[in-house]
Amino acid sequence: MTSNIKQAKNVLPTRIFTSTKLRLTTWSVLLAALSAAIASATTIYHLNQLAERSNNTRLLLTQVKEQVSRLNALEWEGISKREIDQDLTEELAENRQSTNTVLSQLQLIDQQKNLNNLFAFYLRYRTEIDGALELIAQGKIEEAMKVDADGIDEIYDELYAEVTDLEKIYVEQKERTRRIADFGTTASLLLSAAIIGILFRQFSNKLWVKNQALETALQDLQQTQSQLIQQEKMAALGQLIAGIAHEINNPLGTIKASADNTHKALQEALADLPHLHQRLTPAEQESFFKLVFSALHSQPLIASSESRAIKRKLAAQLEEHDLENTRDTADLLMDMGVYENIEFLLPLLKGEHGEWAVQFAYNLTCSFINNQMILRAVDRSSKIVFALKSYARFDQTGQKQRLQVADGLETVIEIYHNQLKRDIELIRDYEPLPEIWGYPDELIQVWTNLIHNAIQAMQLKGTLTLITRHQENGVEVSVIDTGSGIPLEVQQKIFDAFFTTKAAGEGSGLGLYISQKIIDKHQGHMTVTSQPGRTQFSVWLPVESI
Amino acid sequence: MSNAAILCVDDEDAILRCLKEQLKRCFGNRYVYEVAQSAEEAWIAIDELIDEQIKILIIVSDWLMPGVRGDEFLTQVHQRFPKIVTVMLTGQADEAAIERAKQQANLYACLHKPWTEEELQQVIHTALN
Repeated sequence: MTSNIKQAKNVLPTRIFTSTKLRLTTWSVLLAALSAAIASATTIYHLNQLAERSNNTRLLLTQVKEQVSRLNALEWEGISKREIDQDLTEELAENRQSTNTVLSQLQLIDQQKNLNNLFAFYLRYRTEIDGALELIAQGKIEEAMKVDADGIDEIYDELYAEVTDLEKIYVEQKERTRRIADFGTTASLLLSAAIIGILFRQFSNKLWVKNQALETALQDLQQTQSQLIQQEKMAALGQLIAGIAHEINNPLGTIKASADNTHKALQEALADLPHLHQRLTPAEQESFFKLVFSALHSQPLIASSESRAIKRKLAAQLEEHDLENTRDTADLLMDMGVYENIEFLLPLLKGEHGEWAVQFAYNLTCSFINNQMILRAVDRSSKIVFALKSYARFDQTGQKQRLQVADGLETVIEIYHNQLKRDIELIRDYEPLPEIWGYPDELIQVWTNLIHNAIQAMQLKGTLTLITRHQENGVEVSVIDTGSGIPLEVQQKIFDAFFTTKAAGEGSGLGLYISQKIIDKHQGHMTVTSQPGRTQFSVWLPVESI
Repeated sequence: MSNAAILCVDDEDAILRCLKEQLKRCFGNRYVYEVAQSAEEAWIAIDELIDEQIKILIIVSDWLMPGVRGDEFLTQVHQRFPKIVTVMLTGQADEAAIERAKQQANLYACLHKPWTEEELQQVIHTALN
């Protein structure tokens, strides 16, 4: 587990590094794409502007053509009439002005000086025609007639041809520019599509990698979770084994020491036996056998303040009869369970071998008490071993079995005997129950958890009540403790995995979580009610479940 | 009459009976043997022995008992009576508790259940000499 965490820690920075690298590449691609987009947009804008200008130039040239031909017509009109009347003058002036306006606009647009020829032709034409018109205005008709009409026509034709040529050139230029701009737009769109494609590929790659990482992490988590659940089982078992070591070593200690003591006592008694008749008078012998008889039929008192008080009283009583070593004699008699109505002992105790006789009687009878202790210790050990066998039995078939919930409860109580026996009062309120279908070892884990928690909550002191009831086609088991209770805000979290109120390292925080899972598996449910001094966990299990 | 005592503390009566019998067989009437089933009762027994002007030489205590545990009890004993030899007898070896008792209760020895008569007698014997 620990190594897993370490591995995860090692893996993490590498992953971050990889993703930083990925992000860098993505950012640089994005930056490059943005620059390309800005550059192509600017170029397309310029191209469009150029096309627009070409178009404008062409329109102006068309206007020039119209103006010039109109002007030409007017002027020839003047020349052919050989006079220039008021109307014509005004019309000519107006026409010239608008021609000039158009030409000056063209001059503004024409930055590459492509129109110089046009301006030159126009100037020549103007000069010639102005000269002719001037002559007419001055009335020098004859002279005017001499003006080379063909020459003017020629100039006009050249001017007209130039304008037409230019018009064509600008139309072509506009179309070419438009084509380039269109091509640029198409290329930009294709580039954008490519970039979006690349980015999408990169993002989906990254997503895929992340997805893979998440899947691995999830698998790791699931594995860790099952490891933890297993660990919780083992921890619970470990705790129990520690308790059980104590539980088994105690009776073993008793058995070993009792057997040794019996052995020694019998050896001493056998050695003393031949002296019985020599050392004791018949009256003393009678007293002796009475002592042996009452020792065999009595139960020695358990060590306590009361028994020590009785012992002191007994010693004082013996002292009244001027006996010696009264404390030791009283102690022996107490161990034999003979401490009341001891008058029958006085002949024996007052005799020469009184102390020897009491010790002899003790040696004869203590094997009896020792044997009782050995038998009790063996019973106790067998119970523990049986409980352990029930507890540790792992069902190989994985099939549900018919079971009595009380059997599982009793197994757990047996295992927790050493924690329950002194300061915890155990109340069993069992009702006869039908057998249910379930997993015995898993339910024992639930009872272990609830009983363990109850004992902990009471800090080993209080009353533990176990109730079983037949309810709603199922059975209900309640575990009630008299501990400090669970605050409401804690109650909401107790079934969460890894939630624990115990100090770090003491509880895994999985006990109730696993219990809940086991109960879910049985299609049962668990409820908790708690107030200071009374906490009740109730588990309902159906008699039949799928 | 003896005026020196050995006190045994264990929550199981059978263990106490066995201990007392083994000690008696070994040391006879040289000492007074007293037993108690918990730390709480042991304190009462200690006070009673003091009242009777009997000096406690050794306390043998179990570790896992309800209420006050062995290491804690022996530590308290050591604080009040530094001259009393402390011995622990345990069915469950809790290393941390043994270490604590060594540090704070000047633990003389730790016996493990099931113990042998020789072990017990040897520990008491060497402790008293």
